[in-house]
Amino acid sequence: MNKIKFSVVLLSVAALFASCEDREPLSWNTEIFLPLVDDNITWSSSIPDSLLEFGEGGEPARMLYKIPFGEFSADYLPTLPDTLIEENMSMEGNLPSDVPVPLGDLFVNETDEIVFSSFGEGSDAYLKEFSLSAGYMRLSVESSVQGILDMAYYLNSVTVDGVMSGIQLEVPAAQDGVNGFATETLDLAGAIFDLSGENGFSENVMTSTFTTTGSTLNTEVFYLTTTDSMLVEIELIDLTIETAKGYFGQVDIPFDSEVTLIDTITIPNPVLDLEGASAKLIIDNYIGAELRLKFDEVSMDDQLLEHPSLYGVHDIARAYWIDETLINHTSLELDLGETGSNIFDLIETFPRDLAMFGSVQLNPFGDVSLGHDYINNAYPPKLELELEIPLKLGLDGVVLEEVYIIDPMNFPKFDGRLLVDLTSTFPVEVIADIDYVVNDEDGTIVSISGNIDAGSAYPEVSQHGLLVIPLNEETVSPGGSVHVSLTASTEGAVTFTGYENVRVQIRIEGTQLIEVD
Amino acid sequence: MLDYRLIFSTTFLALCSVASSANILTVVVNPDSTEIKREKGGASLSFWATQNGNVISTGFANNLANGGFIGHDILDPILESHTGGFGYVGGSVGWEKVWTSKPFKGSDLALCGSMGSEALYDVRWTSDMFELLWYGNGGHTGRVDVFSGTGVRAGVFNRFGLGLESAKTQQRLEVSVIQRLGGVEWSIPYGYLWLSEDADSLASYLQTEGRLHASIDSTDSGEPSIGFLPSYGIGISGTLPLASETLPIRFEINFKDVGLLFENEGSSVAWFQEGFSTTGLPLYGDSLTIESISNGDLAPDSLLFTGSSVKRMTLLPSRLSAEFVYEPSEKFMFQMFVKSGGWMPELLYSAGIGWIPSDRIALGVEGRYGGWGGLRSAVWAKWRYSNRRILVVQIESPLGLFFNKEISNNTYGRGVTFRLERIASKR
Repeated sequence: MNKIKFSVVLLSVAALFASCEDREPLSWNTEIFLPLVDDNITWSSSIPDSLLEFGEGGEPARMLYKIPFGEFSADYLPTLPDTLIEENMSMEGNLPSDVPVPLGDLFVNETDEIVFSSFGEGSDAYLKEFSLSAGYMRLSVESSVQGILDMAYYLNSVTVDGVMSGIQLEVPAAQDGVNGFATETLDLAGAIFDLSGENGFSENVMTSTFTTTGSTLNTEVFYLTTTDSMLVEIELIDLTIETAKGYFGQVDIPFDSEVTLIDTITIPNPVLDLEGASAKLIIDNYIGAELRLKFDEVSMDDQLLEHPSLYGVHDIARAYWIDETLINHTSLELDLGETGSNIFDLIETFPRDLAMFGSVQLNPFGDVSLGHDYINNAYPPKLELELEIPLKLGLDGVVLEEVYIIDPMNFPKFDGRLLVDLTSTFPVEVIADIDYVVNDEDGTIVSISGNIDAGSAYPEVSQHGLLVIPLNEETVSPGGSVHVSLTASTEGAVTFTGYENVRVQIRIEGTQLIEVD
Repeated sequence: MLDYRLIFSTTFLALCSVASSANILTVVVNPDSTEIKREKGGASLSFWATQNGNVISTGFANNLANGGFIGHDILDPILESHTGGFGYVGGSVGWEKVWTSKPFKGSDLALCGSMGSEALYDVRWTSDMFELLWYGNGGHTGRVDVFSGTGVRAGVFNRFGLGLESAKTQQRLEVSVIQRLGGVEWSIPYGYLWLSEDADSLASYLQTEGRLHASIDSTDSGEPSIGFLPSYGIGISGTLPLASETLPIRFEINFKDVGLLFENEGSSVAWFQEGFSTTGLPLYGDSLTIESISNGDLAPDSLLFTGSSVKRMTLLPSRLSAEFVYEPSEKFMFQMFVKSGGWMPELLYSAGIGWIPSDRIALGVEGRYGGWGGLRSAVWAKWRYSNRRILVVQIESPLGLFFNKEISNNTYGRGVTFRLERIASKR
């Protein structure tokens, strides 16, 4: 009986938990705040940071152009052409009869002088020493001798890390009428060439030693016959001089260069106020030789720069080197804005490029250093145009056009808005035009415009504009693109400190309905 | 029209109130007794099912079950009730048999044991997680939403214990072997979401780990087949009753399954960690997004690192409790207890009063606080239907049993326990 009672109790309680009814889908709203874009538009969008020097205390920023002319560099270095030294050692006439070759002993030992006849084109340059940053030597030997030969070719006056440079080669024996051939390559990067000869007072002279030995690898005695010959080729290839000492000659090197000026500045209809602007041409000479600079033509956007003194001859003293250490370099500064120059008239037109034609002459006074010219390729001479323009300008038009992509979003029954916040410290009124182009079949465009009042970067006063585009599920689900266009217009030139910016923030706010079946 | 369940409850409680004159709660150990009768000791067979929470009311659960639109008028009270920053739901379903044999000959020690099964579950979440899910992130700008501590775990445990009980003092100590038949765990040990005041930038970091303690094999058809992956542990259980010789008070300490579970290798483990900071939110792709959180449709294919677990040791869902009983007269008793463990996030406190109108019937009511839930009531009734046998029925949050009725709307849990007891003979 007790068990029955207990079972009744259990079943009854279990019934309490039973519930089975039809239900409708569960749904609720969630509120969404979704940041999409936070972009800060500053002068960096128009002017590279490296060009802009910010103005402090309300002073105008300054655009600083330091434009290097790269052409003033390696052309001054003496050049070493690829060189082939070929020697055909024929026994014919040198041997009365076939002679046995002693194994392990030298039977050819030849020391030669290699004379470099010219460095550079037609110059009277000579070198006493130079070092290479790259290059290699290749030794190739073709032999008709019917025995294995050990050969070596050394450049006696060339060292790498203090060790004489050379190649050792094992030339196989000629067999069945086929000459033995061997070749080997030596990397000469870092090699120092002493061209002062064996006596130490010459120049352009390099000594080499060539030796041949009957290899001990031969198992039988072999003979050097009267018909034998050995063709030895030494190639010096792709030699690139790093440093050089000597006399570099009196050579004229023309230069013809063109540099881009301010094409990165995307300012509509700009008007520059150039009061306080400066323009200089600076030449720094790091070569241990005098330079003579001569400008034939300087132009901006094909308009000739008029200048009272630029087109004369400009001599620049040699840099001062001691034991391959630069003590100081020499400089020449030419004021392009001096009275009589029209450079600022040219700059007011926002020229896109600047072109220079002329020539530079090395050692215009001859070998005054008595062979002590010095150059280090790591220190090329520099020619820079230095323009300093205060950021006082007027503008009129679209200053920024930006497109921000909005990815598709699955927000069911969304009801909300796309908010575009614009915060500006630009001291001009900015008109903002926003288009939200929906990625639907019709390419629906929702447009809205608004004004942002003029702010100030110093003292900092931000002006805010909020543009609201209504969104629903149909416009938010496929995603789209937000086209932001900012237009500004000034009356005359306005001073900018460089700290001005417009912050663009785009976000979505709204509610969606979540349903769970 | 009254619900049949209400009628049943009322009738049942009325029947229980039929009084007789004897006091059934005076089966107290007499430590002075030196006469050991070799009769079987106490025993019990219990069945229970409980569920409690601190923020999810039955009314809210009814709303979820019934469907329809869940407005802020429904959600706001739930959100406001997250007073400690966390919401909890948990409970257990199980049975247990506890027994004590006759004392050994010439000794007051008796062989004792217990066995049973239990399914445990524990769900906890941060209030920020709740708010993000149900309200969205609209009101969350300029603050950090914390997810750390959110998690779910469930397990099915079987246990068998064997030990000794002093027939004289009823002190008891068992060594238990516990089998975890299967289980599942998911947690966010560390996670947050931050949206700036102007809703223009966002940062998030999430570490989460899931484990399925089951064996998953691929079948010929390609469908995975899930089987048991039992793990075994060992623990100790015991009872330490203390009774005053001069005062009508009793004190009892219980501990159960204090030990370690040696988890087998082979549990499926999924883990991912994701952090990003952005001023424009990536809406699709590999990153976690508000949208994906809201929709619950995370597609973490490239975020997930999955594999099988190695052997490890973990703690058993041990329990520890202390109970104090004061019986100022034969008709009344006061009872207090505190319990911990069993995956409960907080200590469970209880205090109540019992009325003993006869030697066959006792009734009681308790106020409980803690565990998974807040303040709630519990009632109990004891019916001594034979000389040494008692049926105990205990109902926690009785109104919570009335699902889908307004009367249950303000309850946060429910629980029913049935226990058949065989009282140890007096010594």
